[in-house]
Amino acid sequence: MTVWRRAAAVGGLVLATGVVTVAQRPTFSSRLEAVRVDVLVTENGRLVRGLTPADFVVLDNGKPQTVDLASFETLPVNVILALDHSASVTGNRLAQLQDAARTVLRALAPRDQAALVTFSHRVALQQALTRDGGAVVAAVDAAQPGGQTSLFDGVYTGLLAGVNDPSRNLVLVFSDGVDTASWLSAAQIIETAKRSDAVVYALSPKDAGSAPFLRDLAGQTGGSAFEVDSLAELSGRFVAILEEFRHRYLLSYSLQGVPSPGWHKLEVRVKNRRATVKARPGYIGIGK
Amino acid sequence: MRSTTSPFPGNRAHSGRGSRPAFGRRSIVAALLVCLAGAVSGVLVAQTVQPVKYSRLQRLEQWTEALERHQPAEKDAALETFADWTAPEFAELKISFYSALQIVRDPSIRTFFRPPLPNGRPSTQAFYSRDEVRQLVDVAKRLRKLGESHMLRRGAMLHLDAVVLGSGNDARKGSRRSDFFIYHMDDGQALGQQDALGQWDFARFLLEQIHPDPDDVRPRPSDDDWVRRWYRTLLAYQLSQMHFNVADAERGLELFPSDPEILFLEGVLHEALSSPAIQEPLRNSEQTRQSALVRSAGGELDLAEDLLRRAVKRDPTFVEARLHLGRVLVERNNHKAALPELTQVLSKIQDRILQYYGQMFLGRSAAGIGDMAGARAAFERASQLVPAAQSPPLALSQLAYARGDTDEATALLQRLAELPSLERDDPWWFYNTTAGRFFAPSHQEIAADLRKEMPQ
Repeated sequence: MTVWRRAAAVGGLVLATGVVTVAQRPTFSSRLEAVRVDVLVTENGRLVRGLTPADFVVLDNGKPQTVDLASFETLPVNVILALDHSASVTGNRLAQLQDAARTVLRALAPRDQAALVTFSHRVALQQALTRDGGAVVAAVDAAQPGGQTSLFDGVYTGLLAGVNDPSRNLVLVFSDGVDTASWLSAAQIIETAKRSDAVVYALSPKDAGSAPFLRDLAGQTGGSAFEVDSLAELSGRFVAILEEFRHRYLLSYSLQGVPSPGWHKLEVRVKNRRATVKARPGYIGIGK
Repeated sequence: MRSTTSPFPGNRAHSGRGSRPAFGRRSIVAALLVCLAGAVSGVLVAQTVQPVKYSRLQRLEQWTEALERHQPAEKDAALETFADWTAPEFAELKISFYSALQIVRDPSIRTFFRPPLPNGRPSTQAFYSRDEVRQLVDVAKRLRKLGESHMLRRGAMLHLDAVVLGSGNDARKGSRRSDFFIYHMDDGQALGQQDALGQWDFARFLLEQIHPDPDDVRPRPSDDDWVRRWYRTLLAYQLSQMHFNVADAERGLELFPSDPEILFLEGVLHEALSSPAIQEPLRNSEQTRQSALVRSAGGELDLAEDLLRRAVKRDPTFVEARLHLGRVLVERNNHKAALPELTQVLSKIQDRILQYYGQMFLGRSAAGIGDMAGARAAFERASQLVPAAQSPPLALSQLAYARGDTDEATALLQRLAELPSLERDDPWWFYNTTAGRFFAPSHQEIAADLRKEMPQ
């Protein structure tokens, strides 16, 4: 029936006690002196291990950069779950989503951290970054779906949930519908993603309205977007994504010969190999 | 006579002086009423072959009794009359009523025609047995007693009330023979469709017969101010429920193309139809889109801008129309035009929620032309107006992050996180339904007008 429903009945999200971590660390603008680029290197479909800084060619706006560091499996990972909890995610869908979240949380190493953002029309940081996996699982179990979909607002909150933490940020987004309630626009989220060094992996059901946005978002961060036939696939996908993310290289270089502000087009290659390198296509630099 | 600052009856919120509009705290399930048949009466012969519980004249008699008993805007037993009606029976009512109306106008008439077809083709004859003609004459006597125009208005009111106040509105389960169906959507996803009785269509049909000049029976509904206010009520109802019936809305505009209230509500309706909540479910259902008369998002925004421009041209003091025009211009990235519109309107709106909308749109527009300080100031004002709203801190955080101030961006999110999600109450979530608050006073007003003409 085309009737009102009380938000009290559909929007029963409870915000956990967690808040955004604001521990001091260099602000993003300082990244211009130490640009970080997360890259996946494969050859014939297999991960390439053992590369050193000298193996990489990085062009920042066409200017070669000297890679100072190429970390591989050494830095802890922050997994930020940004999960659709609108009214359509109920019953079996909710159970499968919760199951996937619990599975990926169990796969974290002790030094890794996790956070949970849920979004209906309300965006809730249910649990800020923590090494206490139990707290995140409890937040996953407690979050109740209902209401409209603020996908853009939710993704924005997810992108910033780990921005003050020095670890590598993997934002895992799931949404089964199109944005209907956000204030922020798709363009603003894409711009935010270009400024952030988080890598977004996104999942949605096949032919979901959110798929084009999620593809664009993931592509801009060097991540991937997947459309699943069934939410039963989510658990396996989440874990596979975490494994892939762990095996990415984190390159770091000091920006040289290129003005800081504006769009920086990135090209990353591996010397002397026919390797495929997946990295963000660029980033927006800060400065005057 | 309506006031230029408060064109809607009994609603102070519109003028910016009253209490907060009655919106918020609701989730919205949208719906579109879809008409499948261009020539509705063309399929009725086959439909009436179905076995029926009541004859067509019994149904007409039941309808007449409901008309006589119903008190406008009251949820009374008369509204339950249609609970067991099927769509074919209801479609047949249009023909038998039209025959009775011909007797109301000329008691000697015994040759009857079906209602005029919408495409201008000549209507065909309707045949009745002698007994049926006698019943038609009896019904016509009862209808004539009410006064023809008053009777037609009360009929339109009866069906408006049956949908708005009655149980189960216009939907019918499993009639499968309806020319109308309701396409349900929630949160941008299609929920399925349900047959409809077609009460809006019938109400509109009744109004189409109104001729304010008793000596000239040619229908002139556009000369009747009650009809104008009925359409205003209908439009406000559609917005309040996100339950759209574009064909009826467009008929209102055809009849009253210069009325600022109709132009405003119609503009807001098309603004709402441009939203992803409506557009997305229609993405894979082009046939429904066309039948429901819904354009693409861009097409709906074009139309909304045109209608809202016409509304403010007719009534330059119509601040809420200016607010919506400003927002539509923002949506179309025409920030240079939106900024002066919104700046002007904000100086005149006193209502807190409308101010909130204005400040948010002004902020977006300022950011659109690169005036980040102006955008920040507007979003901060919005935040002060509605501290429990989610959107201003997000907007401010995004601005801070874009200028490289990560600390402020995260601090703003922290501020938001400290506000328990259930305590958040963001008017932005209900923007598309705000003009629907005019429904209740408008509904009461047209009911009161009818009651004045009814015997006590």
